[in-house]
Amino acid sequence: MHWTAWAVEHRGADAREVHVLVTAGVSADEPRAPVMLNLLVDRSGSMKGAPLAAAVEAAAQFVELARPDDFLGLVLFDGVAEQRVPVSLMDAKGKRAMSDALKGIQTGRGTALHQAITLGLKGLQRTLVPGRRPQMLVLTDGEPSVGPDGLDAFQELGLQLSKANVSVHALGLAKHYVAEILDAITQPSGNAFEHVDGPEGLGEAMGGLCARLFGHAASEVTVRVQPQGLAAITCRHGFPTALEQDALVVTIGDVSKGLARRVLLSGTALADGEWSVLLHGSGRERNDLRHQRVEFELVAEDSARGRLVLGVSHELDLVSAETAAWLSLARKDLERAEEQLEDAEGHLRAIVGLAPEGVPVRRHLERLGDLRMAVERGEGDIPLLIRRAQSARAGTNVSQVIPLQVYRQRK
Amino acid sequence: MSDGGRLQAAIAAFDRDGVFGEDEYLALKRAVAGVGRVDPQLLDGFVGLFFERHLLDDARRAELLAMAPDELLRAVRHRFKQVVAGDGDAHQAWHALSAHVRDALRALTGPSRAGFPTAIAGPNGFSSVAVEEAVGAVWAELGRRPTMQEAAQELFARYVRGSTPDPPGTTGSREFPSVLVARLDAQRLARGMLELLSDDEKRLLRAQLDGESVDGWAQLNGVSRATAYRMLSRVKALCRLSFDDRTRHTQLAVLDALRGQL
Repeated sequence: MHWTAWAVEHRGADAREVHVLVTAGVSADEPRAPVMLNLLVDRSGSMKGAPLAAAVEAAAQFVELARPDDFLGLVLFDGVAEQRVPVSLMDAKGKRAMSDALKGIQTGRGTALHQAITLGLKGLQRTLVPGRRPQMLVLTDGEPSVGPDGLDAFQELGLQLSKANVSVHALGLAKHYVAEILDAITQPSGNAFEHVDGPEGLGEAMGGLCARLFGHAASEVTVRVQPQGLAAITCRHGFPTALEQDALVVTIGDVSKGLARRVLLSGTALADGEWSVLLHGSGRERNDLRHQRVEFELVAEDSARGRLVLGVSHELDLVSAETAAWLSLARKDLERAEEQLEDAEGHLRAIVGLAPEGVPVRRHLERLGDLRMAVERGEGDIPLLIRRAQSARAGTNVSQVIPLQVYRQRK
Repeated sequence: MSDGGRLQAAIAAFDRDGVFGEDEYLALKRAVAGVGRVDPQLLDGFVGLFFERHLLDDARRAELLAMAPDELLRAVRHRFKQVVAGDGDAHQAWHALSAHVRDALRALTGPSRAGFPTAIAGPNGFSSVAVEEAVGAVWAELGRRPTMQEAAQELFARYVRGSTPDPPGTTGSREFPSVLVARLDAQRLARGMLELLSDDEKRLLRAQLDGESVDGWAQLNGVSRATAYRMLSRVKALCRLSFDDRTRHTQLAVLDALRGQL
């Protein structure tokens, strides 16, 4: 794993702002770790027809990509959840069992999401595969209707999964799932849920997830930050954090091949004094836990790296303002929505001006265009667009935006 | 004054004072107009490459300055033709890399301790972030700030090909002129804008630059009026975002570059 840390000092009106962008990456040539994954597929009534067919096809991609040393399992859920295929080795027999199970799925009534996730967790804890990080992928299109359905219950479940060292991924289809629930179960393990507008987009999103899951090369990645000469330092991304005496520990989670993950830390320097940041990165690669001191480099604001650091900062502010604007719009508070939209557009303007490499400007531009149409003319499918914005926010917050080329290459 | 005379005066001014402004640039551009049938989108790039190889180098510049105006014009046109025709891909890669290296050297304040990155190019060409890291590593390796050519040669040899396409001269007492940098920046900004537009949006922008009406364009392209206006609003939003805080001169240069690239 290779680490970089670039710092930018920005002189504000009455303080010196410091931004440090830490990146953890694994070269695309590194061998991937074997996968152990329980796949949870929603078969409630709303999935009938094209959504279920697309979900089955997407799940089949996983089976196809699995190597003989990978472990996969399948949980199907409607009002009841069942572990249809236990987590097992994907040799010829295992692949046949998965394919057969996927072929015969019938839709039912209700959505027992909590029960399905609990069952998925049990399935993963039943088999020990040394050195393998258990993972879970939830594919759903609806809100829970059977069993616990409150956000609190799912937040607790998310923490339980994280404590059990299970990395959770989720894919929300269309506009009836509860984005906050998918966020609650994925975020504690350092992941973000993906949103798909309809069944036709499922293949592409699954391609992106495959790139991440099957390219998995390092896990338990954390960065320990000890500031010196700073009044405070804050982790701007949404990764889980903890305070350890005089250090901030950020848990990044997993890093996949060719898909680097970043953490932005921002603080204010004490008046006229020198400042510094001690950084230690660690991560488990091929079953070895490796620690490394990460040297930071102070870069100019107008350098390519400086523009990237500032661009990431604006991007995080953009997605927060955008989500807030959608929620104000849903509450029919148009004035507030307009203000928040302008705030988001200001950040987009800054991003376009900086032209930072790797920030998906086109996607932000499209979403803010939709938001402006909704605010000014009430146009657009608002529930769907809110979920799209929430997913963009969740992904940006854990620096998990997959470049389009990767989607297409891995499909 | 003849084209040759104007060009000679421009090169002499650059040699004497290091000044190469808009008029001098136009004199050079006029001298090479029509040579090698260069795509308008690439002309500024080739002029930049020609400048780098023949005018930035003190020895080659002195050689050109010793010629009579007509002979100078013929020599410049001949050498420009060679630049255009020469080892296509390698020259273009060299030129693209040089532009990134120049930007990196302008922004770098010191050597980098992180070492050389594993690659400096991604699927969309050179990565300005990785080139900057690599130039910082060259700086650390040399123990001093590298010249543009030293850094570009090192990176070209290390990441692109074993050797540079046609080793550029080694002497250069003058800076690369800002008028050329601005032209190349406008090209780059225009390219960046086009990357953000869909094919239909690009066609609509072209039609707008040509003065066509949105309704007419929609009808001609079988697109509904509502969709065309939606696309136009996106194009306008992008132009607003890209042009904000830019001078009128840069805006016009970008529009000019957009015309060439669309």
